[in-house]
Amino acid sequence: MVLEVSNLHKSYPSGFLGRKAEVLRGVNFQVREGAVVGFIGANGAGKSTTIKSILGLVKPDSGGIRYFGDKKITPNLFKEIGFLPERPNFYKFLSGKEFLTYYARLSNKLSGVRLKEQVDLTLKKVHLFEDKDKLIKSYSKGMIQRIGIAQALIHDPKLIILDEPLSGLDPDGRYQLSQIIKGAATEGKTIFFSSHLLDDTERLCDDIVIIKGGVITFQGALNDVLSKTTSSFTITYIENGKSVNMVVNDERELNKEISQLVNKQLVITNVSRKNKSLEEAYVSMVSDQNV
Amino acid sequence: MFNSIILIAKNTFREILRDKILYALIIISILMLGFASAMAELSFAEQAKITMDFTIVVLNISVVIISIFLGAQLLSREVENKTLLTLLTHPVARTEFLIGKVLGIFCIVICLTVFFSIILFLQSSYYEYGSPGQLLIIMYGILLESLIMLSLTIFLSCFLRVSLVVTASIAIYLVGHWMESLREITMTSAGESFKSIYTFLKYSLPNLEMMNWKSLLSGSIEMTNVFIGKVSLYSLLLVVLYLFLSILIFNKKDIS
Repeated sequence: MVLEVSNLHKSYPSGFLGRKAEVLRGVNFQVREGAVVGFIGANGAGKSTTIKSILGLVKPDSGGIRYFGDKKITPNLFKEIGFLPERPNFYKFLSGKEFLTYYARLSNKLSGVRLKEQVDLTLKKVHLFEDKDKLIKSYSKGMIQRIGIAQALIHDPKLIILDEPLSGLDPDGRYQLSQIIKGAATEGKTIFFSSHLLDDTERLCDDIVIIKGGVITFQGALNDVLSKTTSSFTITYIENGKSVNMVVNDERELNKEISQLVNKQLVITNVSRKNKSLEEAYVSMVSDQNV
Repeated sequence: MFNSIILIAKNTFREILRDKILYALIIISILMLGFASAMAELSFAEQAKITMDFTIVVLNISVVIISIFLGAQLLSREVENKTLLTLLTHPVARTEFLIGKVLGIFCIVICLTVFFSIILFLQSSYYEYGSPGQLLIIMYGILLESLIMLSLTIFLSCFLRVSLVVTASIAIYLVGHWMESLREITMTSAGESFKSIYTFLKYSLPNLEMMNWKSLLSGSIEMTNVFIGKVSLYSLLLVVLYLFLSILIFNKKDIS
């Protein structure tokens, strides 16, 4: 496993008299090597706190975090981890190239010609090579997000953690960023990203982790989620020379209806299954848990 | 380790150099100097002395105020812009980050003191008042005071908001200069509570009056190398203490 989180608890002071609000209540999940994992949940579910805890930015009250087998978080481990925070903002007084060079040097992995090559390569990857000499303060939101991804990729990490990378972007920006994430995944990097944009998550990820109220309510393959939730079926048949569609909600009903159509000697031209989208599956899972 | 510290220090230096606020503060200081010189022209006697005294006071306040503003923003700006989140998720320890930032601002304060010293030397040669040695010692005192105030401000910024940091730092600066006066009052006062307050302030706040060597120009005080050495050591210890405490707090702080 690239990342294993076990029984993570975190509380924040809330008001006077030492009262605390428990944000994480025993978070457990794993991220396997090479997977693109979507971390989904409603606002305030604990996504950002979980991410900041696993990165050591926030000190958890208790729980275990292990990277790449048995490694604990240390500054040196960040040679293998890249991170993009939610709604990032970078040094506005630097140009894109200066900024990336600064972070590349900080990564302590690159120097000399290799560093310059890596900076240029990464700028090209995020489609900012042409704008490399412009100051970051002149960048659009989409460009800031892309330079943010670039600083997470610059040191060629094994694991990339992204906090809401697609939120607040226009469709073009979302598409471009999705392509960059897909590209990194193709290179074999493990990607863990939080999002509440379920359409994009569905397109990008292999696995999902769902958090609700500071507890993980589901972890597994995306296909498992989709197949666990009820699908609908459409039977297309010919009646009185016209094509008719009939929608049924489960397999038992499907068999029954097909038998009846066969008995009536009607011609069935097509039977198709429509899977629920991740959004529908998520809503149905979360509402099931509410019951 | 040193690589990260130097890189962060360089970037901090560059950040402040490219910030318009620094230049605005320098321009305000220069305007105040011009105003002070114009006022001195109006006096009938000791124009040179009044001008030089005004100049030194303006330069002193300017360097200290700039140090306080830079120190107060050191952490808050990185947190607000979320640059701290990406910096600390690269191979950079929190201690390295803080030392690098402090080093960058120290360099700016040193450059600023050198720049203001040049103005002071030019003023001195124009009015033919004060020797370069005296001016150098006076500016060294201002530099020590500014570095102490900068470290103290950084320490306060680890747990206070920017506005409170600035207010508290200015209050400490003023009390730090009144320490000698407070001691004299305590000597003549019989009140035990006043003595306790003085004792508390004496051991918890820096005695900045120790670095006030402005009277050197008028010849009302004399300076020995041993005394300068002792004050330098005192300043160094305070700077190290405040930075050590800052690192302790910063290392345990949640960055959100």
